[in-house]
Amino acid sequence: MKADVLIAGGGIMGCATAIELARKGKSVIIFEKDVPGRHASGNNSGGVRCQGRDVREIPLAVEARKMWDHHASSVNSDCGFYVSPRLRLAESDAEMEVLEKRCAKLKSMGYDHEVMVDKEEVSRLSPNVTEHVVGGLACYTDGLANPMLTSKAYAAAAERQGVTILPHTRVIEAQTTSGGFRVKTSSGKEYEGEVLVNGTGAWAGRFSEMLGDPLPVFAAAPTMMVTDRLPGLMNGTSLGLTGRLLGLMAANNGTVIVGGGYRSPFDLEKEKIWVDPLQMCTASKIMIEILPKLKDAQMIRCWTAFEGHLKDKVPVVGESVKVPGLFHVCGFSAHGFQLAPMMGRVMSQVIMGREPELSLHDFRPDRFVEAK
Amino acid sequence: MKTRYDAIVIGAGPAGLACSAEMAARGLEVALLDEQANPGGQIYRNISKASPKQHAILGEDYSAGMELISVFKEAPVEYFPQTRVWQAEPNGDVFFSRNGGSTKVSGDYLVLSTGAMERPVPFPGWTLPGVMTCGGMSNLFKDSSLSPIEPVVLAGSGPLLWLVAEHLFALEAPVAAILDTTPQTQIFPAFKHMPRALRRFGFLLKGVKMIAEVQITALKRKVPIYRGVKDLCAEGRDRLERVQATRGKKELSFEATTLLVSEGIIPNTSLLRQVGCAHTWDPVQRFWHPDVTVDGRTNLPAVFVAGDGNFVHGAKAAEFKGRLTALTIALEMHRISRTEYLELSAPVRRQLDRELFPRPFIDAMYAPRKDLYSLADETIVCRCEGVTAGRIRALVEEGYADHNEIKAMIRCGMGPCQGRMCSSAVFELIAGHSNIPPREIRQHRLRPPIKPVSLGELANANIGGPDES
Ligand SMILES: Cc1cc2nc3c(=O)[nH]c(=O)nc-3n(C[C@H](O)[C@H](O)[C@H](O)COP(=O)(O)OP(=O)(O)OC[C@H]3O[C@@H](n4cnc5c(N)ncnc54)[C@H](O)[C@@H]3O)c2cc1C
Repeated sequence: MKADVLIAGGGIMGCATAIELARKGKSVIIFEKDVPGRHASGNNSGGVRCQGRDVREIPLAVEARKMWDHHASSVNSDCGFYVSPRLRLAESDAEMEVLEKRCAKLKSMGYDHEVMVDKEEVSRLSPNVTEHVVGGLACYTDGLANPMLTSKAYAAAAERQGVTILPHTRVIEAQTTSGGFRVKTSSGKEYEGEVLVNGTGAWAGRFSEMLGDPLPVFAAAPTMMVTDRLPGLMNGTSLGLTGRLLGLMAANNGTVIVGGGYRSPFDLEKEKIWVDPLQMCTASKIMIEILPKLKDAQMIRCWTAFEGHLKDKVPVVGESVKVPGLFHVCGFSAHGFQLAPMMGRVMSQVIMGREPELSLHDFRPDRFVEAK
Repeated sequence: MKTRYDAIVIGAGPAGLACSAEMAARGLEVALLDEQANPGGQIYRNISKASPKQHAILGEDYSAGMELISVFKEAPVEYFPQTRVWQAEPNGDVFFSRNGGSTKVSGDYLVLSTGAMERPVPFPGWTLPGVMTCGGMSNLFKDSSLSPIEPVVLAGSGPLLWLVAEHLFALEAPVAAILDTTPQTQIFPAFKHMPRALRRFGFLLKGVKMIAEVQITALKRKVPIYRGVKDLCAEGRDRLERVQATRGKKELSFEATTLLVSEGIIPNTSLLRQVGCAHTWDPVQRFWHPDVTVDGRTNLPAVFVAGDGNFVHGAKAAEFKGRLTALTIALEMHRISRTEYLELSAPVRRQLDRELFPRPFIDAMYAPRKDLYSLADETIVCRCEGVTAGRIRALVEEGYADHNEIKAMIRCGMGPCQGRMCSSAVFELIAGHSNIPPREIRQHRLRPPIKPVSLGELANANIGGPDES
């Protein structure tokens, strides 16, 4: 079978890319070894945030944020999105300086979505935050969405656009041919396409190696936790810290989703993750320090999923230098969910041979080779 | 408490008590962890503190546990009551909360004897205060001699229904009606297991006698008993006021402030699934049970399962399974020789076999009836998150057949009980409305902590090791 574009990986990146390409008239096949949404895209914490993001990603993130308001028309589902301002707290004057620096940097780039707030505004936004917090950086437009709904809505939208999604189909071999690529799947079939997209998430390192363009993408298992319902406690404001690992998201049902860099041991081969309880304990300690009222709250569940990471914590997006026609969109390092709609747009532009509407220079696949 | 034991047993019911005592007797260092304040599990709950009156009402099957308790008390087992295990790992690590803090303890072997639970079955009004399970009632009586003083209706199918009816009659509780939901045709598929069951004639006779006595008492006290009851429904504004049901064309209605339901017993697999034991679907009793050999082995080399957690066979069988598991572990740890093992285990195996003769008959007789999960659209299935059967069914009809996905989309099973109360029903809705055979449906996944833990307890944790992230 043939298509213009073959995509490995039916996560949100693969689907977003496919939707935009199909809208522009390309025929697309997606290979997904499990089902869309089984991994990072369907099981992340749903944070749609610009706050705290690497400044290199900000132009894309700001554009992506606008697209989150239009999912009802673009993918036929609001994806469960709602606004929950995100406030990054400074626990000392030194931390306040770090935030001020970031704010100034953003301003110089022409962005004003994050603003410095004083102690008074902190207590207005989040009345239960502890005394020692001195101020913070707020992003009033950040929000949360339902990752499984979103992943499924993206997959369904792709299919409505004519994209073929093959679930339970793993790409086991891929090679270049005179006209592009030939891939072989676990169902024993072969497919040909002019372009091949690597949207394989945590498996992207391995996948790129198979094609002779190895990327230093490594797998990790970010670990999240959730509390029972604590109406009013967060006042609808999500929190982050500046000097310590912690992210607290205020879900609109009253639960608090906890994350911020905790990870668990795993076996990628067997696709197994063992939730490390130490992570829960460490997070609990910090949580109680920041919101003392959390002491009697209950931790009701932990969860985790595989995600592809890069050392410099920004993704690889664009065409391979070594293997022309191979396009990577991977290594989102636990913050790709928010960017997804925009990734579909820029990926479709570069695949169609156009200049992307925003520079992808910081995300070029060969940046690691240069660095050596 | 030490940080390491030869074996850690979780659950102090008959299986856990027998297993830990037997292992200790063979020279192993054993810790027994249990949530309750006293040993005994559900069946012998509170037995060491129970009054003569409680013993008299609960009868000889309850008092039989005394012997087990006294053997256990003699054995050098380190027993930790009021200890809530919230995570276990295949390498033998166990995490739990106790006295306001959390700790880790490790064992070369883990024995999970977390018992059984009542099959949660949603029906209209099941979330109303005043509606509870027969087992829940039985626990209240065992713990604190409580029994209803206002009208109470019993409804369901299976031996527990009759047992609790017997107790309530003995306590002179105002029973308003007994509604047996067992389909009257169910005796036919059960017949083929009758010859085997008759090898334990005495046991069967005891059951038949109990039901007959309840019927005689009911007749004397003018308490109606209806068979083949359907469409059970609890009604009331803020709490239960009325129980309604149908019997053929007849509509039944009873004023009551308590409704006790029982639709059978299923293995309590929360911890087993969290630790990673492989499970198998039982098509007769329609539940998942772990793959366990008769000597307690699972797919994980250091993890053993004993008692009803592996299959619902009752208290005596659980005790035998506990002992067999103990002997197997003692053999693996070279505390007994192969010859000793064979000698010691043979009589226990024989007793266990005998105990199991009537089970296929009872399982078939009280198999969940076909329409048990024909839930009306508006019936709440997930109590924690208020998700109705209609919403779940709609997703299944759209093609979703994975509880984990359905949960992530509409939150059923996402609340504090982690799907304990709804996963049977969600599973049946998936099985009933998709074309996937039950054993191929992806099971609901359980993440730690399997029971809520307070952040305060976690923050006060002492589980060692540096933070690596
Ligand atoms: C716990 C957690 C929390 C997170 N929280 C946030 C957050 O709050 N905000 C945010 O913006 N981001 C967050 N992220 C990150 C975000 O989820 C990811 O960046 C994003 O989902 C990546 O999408 P993807 O399509 O690349 O990955 P995936 O969804 O993992 O998709 C990759 C797919 O490729 C398939 N695949 C792999 N190899 C093959 C093969 N050979 N053949 C066929 N198919 C293959 C896999 O099965 C998989 O489905 C979080 C991630 C995790 C894990």
